[in-house]
Amino acid sequence: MVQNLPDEQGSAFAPTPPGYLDALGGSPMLPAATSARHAAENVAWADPARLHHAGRTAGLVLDSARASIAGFLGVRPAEVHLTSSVRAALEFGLSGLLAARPTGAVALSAVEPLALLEAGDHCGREVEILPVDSTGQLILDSVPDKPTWAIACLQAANPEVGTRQPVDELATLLDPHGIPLLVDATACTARIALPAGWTALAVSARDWGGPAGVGALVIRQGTSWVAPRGSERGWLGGFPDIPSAAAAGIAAETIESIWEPEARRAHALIARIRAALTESIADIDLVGDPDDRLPHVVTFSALYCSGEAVVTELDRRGIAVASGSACVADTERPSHVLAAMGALTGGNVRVSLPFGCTDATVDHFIREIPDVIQMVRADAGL
Amino acid sequence: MPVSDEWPERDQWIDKRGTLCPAPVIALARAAKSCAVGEVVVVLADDPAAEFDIPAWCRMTRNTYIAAELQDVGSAYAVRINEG
Repeated sequence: MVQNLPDEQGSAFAPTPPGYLDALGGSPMLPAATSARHAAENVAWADPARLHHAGRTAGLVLDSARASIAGFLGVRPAEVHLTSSVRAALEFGLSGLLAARPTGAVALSAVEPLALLEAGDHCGREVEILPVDSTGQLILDSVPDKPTWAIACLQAANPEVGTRQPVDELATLLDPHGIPLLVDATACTARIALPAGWTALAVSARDWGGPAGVGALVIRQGTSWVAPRGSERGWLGGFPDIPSAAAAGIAAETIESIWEPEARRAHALIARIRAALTESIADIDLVGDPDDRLPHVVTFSALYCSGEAVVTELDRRGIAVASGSACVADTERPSHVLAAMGALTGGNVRVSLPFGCTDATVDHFIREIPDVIQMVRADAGL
Repeated sequence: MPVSDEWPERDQWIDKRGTLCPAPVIALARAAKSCAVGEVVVVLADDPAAEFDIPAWCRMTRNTYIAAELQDVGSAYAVRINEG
């Protein structure tokens, strides 16, 4: 396969195939992380809670990974609790914060991840859904003057449409009332500077070039919360996957000094795609904030198109994208994010640039997409 | 089609139940072409995406979304056509 090496960046990023524009769906680990996992598999296989040498060795590898991730996130190692996914981190965060707060509702923005919205529905508390505007940004005016919530949840940015959320502004409104803020930072680490206003923060190592099976819940020191039972040595829920944690730690160390220029480059590439879409295709709903957004994400919907047909035809032409249309989703429901924004859900295309995405891949997409939309629309006979 | 038949001011109705988006929106756009300005088209659809995509179509094409009414099967969406 032709390697899709970035034009000017170094080779710290693992190459993705030409035409690959679905970073949110998955990205290869950084080569340094792959090596670290392999090395850790040979030495860190024992139970880190044991008192013998093999156990202590495993424990040291886990501690080291935790420290690297803490350094990357700018927090204390003791605040970092590793787990198997960002979904698990969010669920442990919600349940653990609620367990320490016996009364009050859960407030969530309408565009939180489905996993968190579902966890809210099943937590036994009243749920208050906070509305978003047409860009997908939380409407801060919807926060009552004297909120009595047990907890509020707001993502740092929406992974699907890219729009950044007013996390620090919301935190300022909640602080006087002592309401903790759980922030989902999926798709945000190594892409934007994280907001500071969180009480608890959920992150996924896959976003920073680590493995898919490591997430972290960061709990601000001094916060009342209840850790799930069976959690030890900084790993929540079940036996720790220490080799994967080691890979996540090395990925964090590696990416810390290189992500910012890459983010600036991605921001410009997405701006180019947005401009080209506006110019070359009529009747599209180009959603999300054009500027105050994740650097690597753009989403749009085209009238009179099936999302499935567009994704399939792009794939035939060597371009991999995702879609929030109902015909493509596992749930057979359209994207709840697009629905909450009042955006068109049919004919939806989600582009997310992997690290090191080349200009050539972006050019290829810009060249093909008008023709693909036109072709799919021709079937509608309008 | 009891309720859609009785929809006030209804000039045209289209039954797209059993089809998936974008079929209901395409049918609406086709019907709009044959409508005079100010006419009301009612679309019957049971695809959950229609709830979002019919109002979005109205916004994008500068037509007026009037209301939706829940039916036994699916929903009826009423749209006022503003341009040819």
